[in-house]
Amino acid sequence: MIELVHLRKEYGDAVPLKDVNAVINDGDIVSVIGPSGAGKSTLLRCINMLEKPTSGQILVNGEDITSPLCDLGKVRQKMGMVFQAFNLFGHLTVIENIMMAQVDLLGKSRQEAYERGMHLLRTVGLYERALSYPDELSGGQKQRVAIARTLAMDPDTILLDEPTNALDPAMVGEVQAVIRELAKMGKTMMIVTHEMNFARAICNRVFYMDEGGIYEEGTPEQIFDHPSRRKTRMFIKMLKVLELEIHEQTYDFLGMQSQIEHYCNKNQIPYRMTVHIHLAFEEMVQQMIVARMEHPDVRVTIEYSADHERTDFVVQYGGESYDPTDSEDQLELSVLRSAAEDIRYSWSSEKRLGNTVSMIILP
Amino acid sequence: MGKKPAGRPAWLLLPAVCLLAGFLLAGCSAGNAQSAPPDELKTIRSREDLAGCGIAILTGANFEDAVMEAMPESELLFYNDIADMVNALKGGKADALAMDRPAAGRILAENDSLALLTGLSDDLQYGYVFTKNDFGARLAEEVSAFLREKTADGSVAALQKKWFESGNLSSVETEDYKALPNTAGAIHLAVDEYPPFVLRVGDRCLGYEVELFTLFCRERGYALEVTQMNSDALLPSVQSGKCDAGASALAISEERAEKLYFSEASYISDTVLLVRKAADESAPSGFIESFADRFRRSFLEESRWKLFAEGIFITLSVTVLSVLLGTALGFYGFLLYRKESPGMRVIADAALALIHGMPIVVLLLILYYLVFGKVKISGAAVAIFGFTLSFGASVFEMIRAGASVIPAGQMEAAYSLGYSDRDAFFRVLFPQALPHIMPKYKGGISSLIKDTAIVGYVAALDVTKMGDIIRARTYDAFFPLIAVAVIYFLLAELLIFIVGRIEVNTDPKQRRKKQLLDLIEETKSRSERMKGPEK
Repeated sequence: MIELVHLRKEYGDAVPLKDVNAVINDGDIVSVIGPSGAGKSTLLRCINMLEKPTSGQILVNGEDITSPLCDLGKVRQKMGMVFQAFNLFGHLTVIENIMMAQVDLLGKSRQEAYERGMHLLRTVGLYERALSYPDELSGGQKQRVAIARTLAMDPDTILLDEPTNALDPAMVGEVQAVIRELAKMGKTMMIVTHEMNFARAICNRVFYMDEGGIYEEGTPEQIFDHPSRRKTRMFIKMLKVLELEIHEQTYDFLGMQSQIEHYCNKNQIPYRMTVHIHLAFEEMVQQMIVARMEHPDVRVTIEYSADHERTDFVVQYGGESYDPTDSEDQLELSVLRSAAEDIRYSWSSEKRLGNTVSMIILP
Repeated sequence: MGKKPAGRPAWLLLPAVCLLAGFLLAGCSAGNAQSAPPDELKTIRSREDLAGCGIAILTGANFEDAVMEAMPESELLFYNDIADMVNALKGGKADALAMDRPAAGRILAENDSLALLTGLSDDLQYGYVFTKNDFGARLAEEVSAFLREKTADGSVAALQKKWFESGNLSSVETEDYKALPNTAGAIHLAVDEYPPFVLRVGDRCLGYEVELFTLFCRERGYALEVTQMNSDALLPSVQSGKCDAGASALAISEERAEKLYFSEASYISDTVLLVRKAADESAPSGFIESFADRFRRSFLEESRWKLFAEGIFITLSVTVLSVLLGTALGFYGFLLYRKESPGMRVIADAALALIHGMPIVVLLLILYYLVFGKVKISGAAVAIFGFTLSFGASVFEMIRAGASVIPAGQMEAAYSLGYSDRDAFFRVLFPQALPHIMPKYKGGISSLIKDTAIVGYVAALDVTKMGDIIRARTYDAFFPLIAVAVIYFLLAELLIFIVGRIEVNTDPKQRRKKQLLDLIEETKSRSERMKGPEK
């Protein structure tokens, strides 16, 4: 069990952690979310004392690890960490990376360490790469090796600091699969992540961090579906909903498509739906609306709901009343209809952006 | 993988270097025999012929006044050592050479192609110098009294005749100063190389001034220690009290008398001029004879190769010890520095700035005359101390630069696994930093061995200084220099080769793969053996 008691961390003028109090029980899988700079990584790094807290205590199974009397090495052996930058040892092969700490710190024979290492590599699916060097591996492979290296020490707790953040979307899946397996082992885990759906799938608790501490905490359902406090709600909404604004004809079309792609990845929207969303953007927003307006004033809202597996696509724009569904752009409309359904138009003279087009993207 | 050992290309260069040395020698030999057609070199037969000509003079000696007084229209050419002057005269760069009579006599004994023209003024007085303190004052008086005594009874004249008129200096019988008992005290005498007043043969110094002083010591019951050093270091040595007395044909002058005590003159000389003989009067020698003769003179005569051997020993000792101690110092210093206490950093940065902020010569001089001024310590030891500091500072910088290349995240990963800072450094950071450090390290060693060429300033007789000593005896500027250069080249290559072998053996990738494959073999065979009985 890990207890955080009035934990405070200052860096010169900045105070990322003002007064953090929490209890993490054995077997808890906690995901730590929040805006950048909210102190999520700092919290994790304090728990294994990579950062020394300015004040406060951290009790691991009753032992205060902030005290200078504590044998930090021994505590850390039981508390593994997986980093965003992988941090594999460059001068050692994959198998040696996994063996080194076992031999040096646990006193195992090279034989034992080797066999355990190969077993773990098999578990993460990298048995054939045992003799490769880290610089010969892809990012996803490196992270899997890093996880195996952590497991070699048989820790009770595993801390993961944005483990998939540095990876190409294509490789995120393989690492998440390994982390899923970790979650089944019954170890205590704390994982800082932006991957909401993934967090939901494996965690039993969520800490939302903001304003220098744990702003709100609860089960995944509570935090993701019914956040009670204001900032939590704003954050969750931001995660769930993508809002794009266009104010000139020469806006960065490719940039926005890229943002859409990123949003789809983060929310793990299925491939076909992603394609349809891109299509809807291109046809409706670019071709039918922005191209027609000299001074466009457009807002696009894309919201995906995992529960219902549905994406709502809404475009609002100013100017005179114009119904694109009733226009002569038959080609664009028919393309659009292959990507979305229930396309509706409405007008309200009272709103600044009076025109509204809404649709539901097809899976 | 599959890299050739670092030393190989260097050995291939050796024949090329020898060839180059050979050509240079050939060129020099020819040049010295007759660098320009005989009729182009001016023949000087009288003082009047010297009007408007160049006259070679030793810097720091007091021949200037005499020459300027006698021949005001001549041009003075200053040289730092006698061998250079002799070569300038032979080659035509100078048309005459000004020297005191005894030293001129030595030059003539070794060079057939030169002749004495005439003497000039005769008020050149050489004396012993002593430190300006009570002991020095006393010694100056005692020595002066001794000189008066011995001049009166003719011993001085006999001694002068023995040294100044002998053909072969090394065969002259002389008192051994090393055997003197210490009853009244010990005197430390600083000398340079200036035959026939002071010269080195084998492991001791000989010469008129040395023997005269030895006799003085014997009579008064002093033990005598003689230390040879660069001429620039002589007077400062005595001034600072590092040595009690000094001698090497030191002219008594008012300026010097301000800082030192002088004894009465041990020798009064006139300045003489040497010129080239007319072309038909000297016999030009063939290339082979000349080469063989010079080789004999530089290496075989008086077993001078032993001097080179001694010099090599000193150079190697200073280099190797400084490398080992300096590496340890730099490494240990870096480990302390990593502790990150701000006080430590300030001290470290200040020390580095101090050590590397001045030329190494200056550092050695400060150590020798100031820090260890009152301590009885050999020049070589001071040199080792100084170079250890300097090389240690360099090693520190190298490790710091090498370590900064490794991403800090790997250290954090090590900490997270449970490694202590010290273990993480040695298991993670250092093995990866080493390949970055090694090339600079090798370069540092190569520089170090060449930098040791200045230890003559602190009275250590290394290869360079031995080369100087031999040059001063043979008046042959080039042969000893080439020999010295080749020796440095070989020593440097040897050291780099050794370090290169270490570099290859510490390359993590090579060694580890082999270890691992062994381990895999072991595991396989073990599991097979376990399966065996079940079949």
